[in-house]
Amino acid sequence: MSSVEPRQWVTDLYMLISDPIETWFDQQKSYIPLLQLAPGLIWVLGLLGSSVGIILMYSFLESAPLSAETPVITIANYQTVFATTYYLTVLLRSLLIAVTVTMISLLIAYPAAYHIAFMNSRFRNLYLLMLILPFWINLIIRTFAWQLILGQSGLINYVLVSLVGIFETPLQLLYSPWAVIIGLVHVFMPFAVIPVYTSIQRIDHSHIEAARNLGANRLQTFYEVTFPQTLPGIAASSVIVFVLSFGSFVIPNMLGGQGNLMIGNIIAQLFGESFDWALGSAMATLFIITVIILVYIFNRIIGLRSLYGSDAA
Amino acid sequence: MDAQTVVELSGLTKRYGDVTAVHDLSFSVQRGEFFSILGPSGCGKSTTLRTIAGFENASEGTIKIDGEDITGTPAHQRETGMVFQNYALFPHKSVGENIGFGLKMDSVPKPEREDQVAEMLATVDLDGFEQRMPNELSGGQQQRVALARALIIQPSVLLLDEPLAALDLQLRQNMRFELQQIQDRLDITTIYVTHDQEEALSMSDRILVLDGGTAQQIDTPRELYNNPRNRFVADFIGEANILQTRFKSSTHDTIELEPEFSSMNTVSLEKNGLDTDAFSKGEQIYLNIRPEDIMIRPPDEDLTNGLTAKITNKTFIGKTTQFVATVGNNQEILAEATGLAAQQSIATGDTVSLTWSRDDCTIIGEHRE
Repeated sequence: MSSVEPRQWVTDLYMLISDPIETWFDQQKSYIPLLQLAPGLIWVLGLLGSSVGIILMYSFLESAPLSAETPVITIANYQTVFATTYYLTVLLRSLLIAVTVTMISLLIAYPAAYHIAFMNSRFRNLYLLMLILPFWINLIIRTFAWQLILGQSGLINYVLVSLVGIFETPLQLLYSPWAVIIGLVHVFMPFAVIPVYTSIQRIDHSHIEAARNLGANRLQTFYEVTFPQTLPGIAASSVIVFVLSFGSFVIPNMLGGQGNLMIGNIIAQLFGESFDWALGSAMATLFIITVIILVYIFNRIIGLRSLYGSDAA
Repeated sequence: MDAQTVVELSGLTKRYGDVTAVHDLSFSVQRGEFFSILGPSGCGKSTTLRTIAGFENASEGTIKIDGEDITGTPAHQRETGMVFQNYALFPHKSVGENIGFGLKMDSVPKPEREDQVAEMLATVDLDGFEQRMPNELSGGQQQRVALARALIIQPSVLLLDEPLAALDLQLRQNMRFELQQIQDRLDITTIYVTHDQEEALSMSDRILVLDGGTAQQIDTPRELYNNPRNRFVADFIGEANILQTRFKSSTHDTIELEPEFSSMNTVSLEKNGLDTDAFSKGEQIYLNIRPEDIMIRPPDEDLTNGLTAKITNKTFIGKTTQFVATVGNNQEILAEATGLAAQQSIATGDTVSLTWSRDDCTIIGEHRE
């Protein structure tokens, strides 16, 4: 029987090397979370931050992109935006469309999410999946389908005019604000379902039973107990759908036509067709600021803090 | 029906598909009574309570509250006040709004509501807590708010679903006392569901022991403990030594029984007016002796009523020392002794005599009465 003891100098040497390494790591502990965040941070700050920075910079230049000449800093671009009724009208129209889309999406998503969250079925996840399934089909194909449904000789007009004969001439459905709204609701409604569904599902069933026990009927139970507890989910859904539809580009282009363009289309035109990058940048900056202000106001009213999980209950 | 009966269940059965959660349950609760439903988890006690509250529909049978058949009445129209195990306080409402909720649903005007809430908060010792939010309260305080919320609607019956289970031991004991005091003061009919036999024994006027959805016994705590009707009740309430014996003979005032596990001994017990005519020789009879009623004696002592046993285990549990003694063919008997003498003088491996007073030994089962 022999036991091999490491020689003293081996142990000493090991300590000599490992100690400073351990100490170093101990000292670096506070940087480790930062290290873990780094890839995401670099991605977002580097790409998003720099592009927004460039847009911001362009918006104050007389002519952009930068040429060999000395750049001239000006606020003329913003003056042009505010002086052009058309741009402001489009901004306002986009806002109205986004608000309408948000409200309709919630009106559709909430009952559906409520029903699925409370259903006593093993197919619950399947139903939820079916609501989200449209995500798997390309946006342009889906929007094109709406063109086929809403068009002059589309499905609806075919049924109304040729089949049933209620109307003599086809209705103008496509290339209207409502066509844009229908398309946007269709695309963004699933985004509204998930936060609402999560907040409904999180409600403790005994809260509902307690309300019933204390004499509340179904309707009272809903608006006194269920609905207030789903406000965070409603807020999350609203912000997501609002921001997405406010800045939408493809759908107003395909379903709205020239008369119903939204802010995204105008910016794209300024960049792509007019080559007025400076004015386009001013428009984009204004749009970003509008979104930030609106989300801020919304946050003050409803309180997005509850979305971040500080809801102690 | 007795004019004082508040809750009356007859033949209540609740099935979930093929599973029968509650089977043919009948009992009635008197005005002001503290009635407990006690049983292990899954015995159907919560289902019974939830059926009374109207959260579950009875598959069969009827439920009456104050003489009125409410079997099909929706939950919000029943005169019950429930305290949930997790309290179920509305997290988005203040303490005052929580307690006043039932009154609001009853369209009580706000000023009156606020007065009643303040009064109720005083009852549960939470004066001035109206503006607090539930998540700012401790477990015990939440418990009291839940109780106040259920009491303020002045229900015919207060339903408590393991309300103390979520509290720690010290608080649980305090709350037990407090709950009992409030119940007593308001004289409110209460049905209390618990799996904790100590809770049930200490608080209740009567206890229903439930197992597998079937009523095992409905009795006062004392009767349940001293005269359990069957093996389940004997085992579930307190600690029990259930001995399998055969009937041997009976005299004018005693019954002689022969233990199955040891042919050498005979156990005799007080007849206590029991009619033994129905007993046949060799008939199987179960006896129950509580561990604390068993005395451990030196082996040679001449005993009229006892068993020779060998100590196989000894556990010091604080107030008492528990001994496991083995008799005959591996029949284990649990004995409990208080005091230092027992702790020091008896050791594992000792041969001893186990004895008890004839009064402390009871027959379990159908021959009891």
